[in-house]
Amino acid sequence: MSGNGAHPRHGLDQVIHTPVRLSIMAALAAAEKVEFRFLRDTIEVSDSLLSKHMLVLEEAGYVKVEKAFVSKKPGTWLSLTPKGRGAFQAYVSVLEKITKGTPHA
Amino acid sequence: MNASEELSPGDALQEIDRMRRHVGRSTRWTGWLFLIWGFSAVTYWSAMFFVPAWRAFAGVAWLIMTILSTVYVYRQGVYGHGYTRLQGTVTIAWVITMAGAALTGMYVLPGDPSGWWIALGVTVAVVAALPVLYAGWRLRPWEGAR
Repeated sequence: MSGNGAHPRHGLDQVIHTPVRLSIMAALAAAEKVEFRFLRDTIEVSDSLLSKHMLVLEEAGYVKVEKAFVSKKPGTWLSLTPKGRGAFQAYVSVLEKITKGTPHA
Repeated sequence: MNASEELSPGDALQEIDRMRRHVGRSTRWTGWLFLIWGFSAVTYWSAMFFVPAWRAFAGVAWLIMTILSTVYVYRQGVYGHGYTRLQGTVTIAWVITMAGAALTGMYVLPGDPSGWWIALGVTVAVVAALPVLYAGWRLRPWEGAR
């Protein structure tokens, strides 16, 4: 997940630090529950690419996937787990540490 | 964003902020919808209790709002923080206060209310709206993405 060097970038969670997974985590962090199609359209990826990255995040224990009715609406609803929320907050802290430490991050 | 491109810390922070604003915009609508329903409920019951000539219009407007809200809820693909916790309680309280307002209108208020009956009718109209106004206030849509 992270390296052992002293530079803060070694603390970046590599499960999150890819363009698509970062967008997924950022979108889920901003809400309580997000429907699969809304997320797909928001981050502008295909169903298959989103599913692939969701699987990685689900296996890491960061995302919960539920097939459920919310407000009588059926669908695949995605949300961050407490572990995922913690990992995302830690990831943002590392990013802020890096950008504050280097003027041209 | 290209899925294969290298991600700099600055880009990552920008993307996080972009997502937060985008998703926040969508979640805020739920809060506004609660507030709209709250103010509409006060207007609706006031019309029903005090302005017989507006009853038909209020009924049609209520029906249209119900249809539009149902479509909105069905299409809504995102819920903001706190929504799930509020939803059940607010729905139950809303049904109870609306039923209370309807029963007050049918069995308590006189046909042509005046004086304290007006005060009672206004109070009932406001109380009927309280659950959804409370939900809107709790979701604080005016505060933007949190």
